[in-house]
Amino acid sequence: MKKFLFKIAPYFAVVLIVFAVLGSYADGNTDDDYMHFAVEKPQNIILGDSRGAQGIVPSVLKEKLAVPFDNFSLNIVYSPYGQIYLKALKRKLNPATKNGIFILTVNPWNLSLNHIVKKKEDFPEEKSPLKNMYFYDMSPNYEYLLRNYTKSWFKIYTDREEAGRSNTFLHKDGWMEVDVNMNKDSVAARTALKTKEYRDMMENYNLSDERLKALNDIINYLKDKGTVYLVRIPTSKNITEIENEKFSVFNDVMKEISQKHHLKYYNFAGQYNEFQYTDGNHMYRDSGKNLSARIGDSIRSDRKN
Amino acid sequence: MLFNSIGFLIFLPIVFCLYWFVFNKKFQHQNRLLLLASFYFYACWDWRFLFLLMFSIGLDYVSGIKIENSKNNREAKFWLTLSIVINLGFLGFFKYYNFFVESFADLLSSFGFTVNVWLINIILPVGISFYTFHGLSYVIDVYKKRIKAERNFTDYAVFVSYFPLLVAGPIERATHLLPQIQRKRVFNYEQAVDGMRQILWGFFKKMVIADNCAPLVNEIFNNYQTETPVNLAIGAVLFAFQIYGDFSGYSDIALGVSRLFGIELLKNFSFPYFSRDIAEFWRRWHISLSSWFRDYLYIPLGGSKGGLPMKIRNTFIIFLVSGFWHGANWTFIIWGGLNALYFMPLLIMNKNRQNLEVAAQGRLLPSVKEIFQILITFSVTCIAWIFFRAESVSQAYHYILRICSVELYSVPHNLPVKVFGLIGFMMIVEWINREQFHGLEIKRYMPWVRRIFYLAVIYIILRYANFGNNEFIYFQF
Repeated sequence: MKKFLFKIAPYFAVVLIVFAVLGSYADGNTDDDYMHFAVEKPQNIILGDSRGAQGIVPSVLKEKLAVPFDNFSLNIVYSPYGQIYLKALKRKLNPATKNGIFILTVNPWNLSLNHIVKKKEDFPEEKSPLKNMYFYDMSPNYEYLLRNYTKSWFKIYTDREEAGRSNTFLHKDGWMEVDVNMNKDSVAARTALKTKEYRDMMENYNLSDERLKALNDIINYLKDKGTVYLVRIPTSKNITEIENEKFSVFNDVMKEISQKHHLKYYNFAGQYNEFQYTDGNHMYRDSGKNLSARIGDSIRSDRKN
Repeated sequence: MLFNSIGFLIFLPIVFCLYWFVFNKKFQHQNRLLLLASFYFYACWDWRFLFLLMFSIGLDYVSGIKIENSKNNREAKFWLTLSIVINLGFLGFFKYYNFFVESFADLLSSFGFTVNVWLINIILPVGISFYTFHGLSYVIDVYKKRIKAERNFTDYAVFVSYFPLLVAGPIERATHLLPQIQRKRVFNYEQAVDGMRQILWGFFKKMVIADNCAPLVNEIFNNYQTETPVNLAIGAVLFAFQIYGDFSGYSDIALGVSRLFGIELLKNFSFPYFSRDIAEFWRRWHISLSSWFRDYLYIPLGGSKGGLPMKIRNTFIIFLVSGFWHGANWTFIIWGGLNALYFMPLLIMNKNRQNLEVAAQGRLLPSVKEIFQILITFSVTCIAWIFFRAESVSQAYHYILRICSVELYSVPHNLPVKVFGLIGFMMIVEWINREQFHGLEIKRYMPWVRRIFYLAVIYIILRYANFGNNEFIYFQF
């Protein structure tokens, strides 16, 4: 037995060392979510889906409000408002948080559910890393890599930031910087695709009581630790029209929630013409900075009053 | 719990250490440990179905004793029938209820009747086809007096639920496995080392071959209406390697893990893609299931005793049942039927037992004739696999129809060179070791050659494997 263990131990040691070394190179290039789990716990946070992830730039908010922010928005599948997101938020947020600023980006989709989903187990975020993660501030975060990274770990090394940033780079502050061809035709093609996708989705999605309850729960949890703001990020004209057609009551629902909890709701949806989008749905990085500055200004003026 | 999950990488060393260092004084203690570990292993998937597994174990355990204690054959037959009916009843309910209801409704609608069928959203308990067959073989063997009924409940429960084989086989026989459970196991260095080699090769086949083929196959099968004929052919070939890597990889890991506990399981694969005819293929593919059907269905039906018509009828029956065993879909039944058809020329010409030895035995390279035979066998197997993989008979039919075009002889676009390179590596290694027990049985080489080879395989796994905890295909059966 001793001989057997002695013989196989070096192979396991080699494998563990290789994993440890490769994992240590994980960064914002590794995948679209890793960095959310490998930074210090924040006191000021931004929640939402991919619109929020790409559209709100924490460094701009920091300039405006003089406090560091973390953008904890993943995407519509992984981080719609729900109990899983609330649980993840509790683990992510610095427990010592007092007087924090919390920006909750809302849109009809991250508060909706496909009508075919009947059971909790079928909610899309059931497969989110937010569901299976325990450690949110470990760097390198081997727990994340073991549980959620599905590619070869050699890719962590070959695709590291040092070797060149990928088109979707997740900054340490959680901002997802997307670098795509902004040529007019490319944007038009992507927008047409996205519009069709949303028009198809429109048939099957409705505002969800579970998601609205979760949003209320998140607000209740956060408002004891600081000030909560609801923000609706604009999208292109086509998608805004789809949302207004399908979810005509959405703004009223948000206003109702904001009144109930005595918080501000900033709706930028009407200003869609003032921004540029990569695909009609997500804001281009320069526009994201512009929007973030406007949000920062609004919050600053609110805090002065 | 999947073999290719972190949970299993923690579970296995813990059970191994407890087995050999804590519970090693008495084999009965080791059996209790194996039983607890097996139940835990199964409960990790869905603890509710553990009760079904326990019920199945209890039923066959009691049936075995009752059969043995029967005063006459009628009483023994009653207990045998009861066990078979209940076992197959559960299998039928969980696996085939919706299929029968839907097929019945389709049949009625073809006569102009419209019926509202009551379908149930049933979760198929993982491994039910496998553990049901374990239990059935046991009670039949007791009835046929091939073995004595097991009186020790723990030993019998370990026989059915032993975790390496619980969810996807190999389908064991009581005559082979129970005696190993009933005696003291001694740690055997050679057996354990070779078990580790087999595990390593199993991971390679699953994580490198099967999991890299899977996305390509899915892409091609999902878009079969727009893919070019040559790409469709590539999709079928890749699926052949996906299912081989997936299932034989699982079997290698199961056998290897079991050898770490001093228990040898039945060999399930023996390099089937080097077969020179379809009969040889079926002697080398999913051996434990083929031999199960031979012993418990083909032979009781009369086997080959009744002349050629009987042989043909029985061959069709076992292939169709084998297809149906895989799943409640006409695609599997046609897959079985197609394999039976392939078998017919050999059966009629009485050549179904002409290739009993491995191809090119004692030689490094095969002859031109052997290469030709191997390629033909592989090609017809790939055609049958299209039915196995397709969502519906119509999809499989149109898939094959689209392949049969002159455009088949064109240059494929986006040829997955990396994946074919990895498949090539696997096939070369398996060809070299085709006369051994498994694909990585390389103990005949110098230690330094072996070490370099282990490190090379480990490197390839780390470099090219898919670490997505992908399920094994055979879990759904």
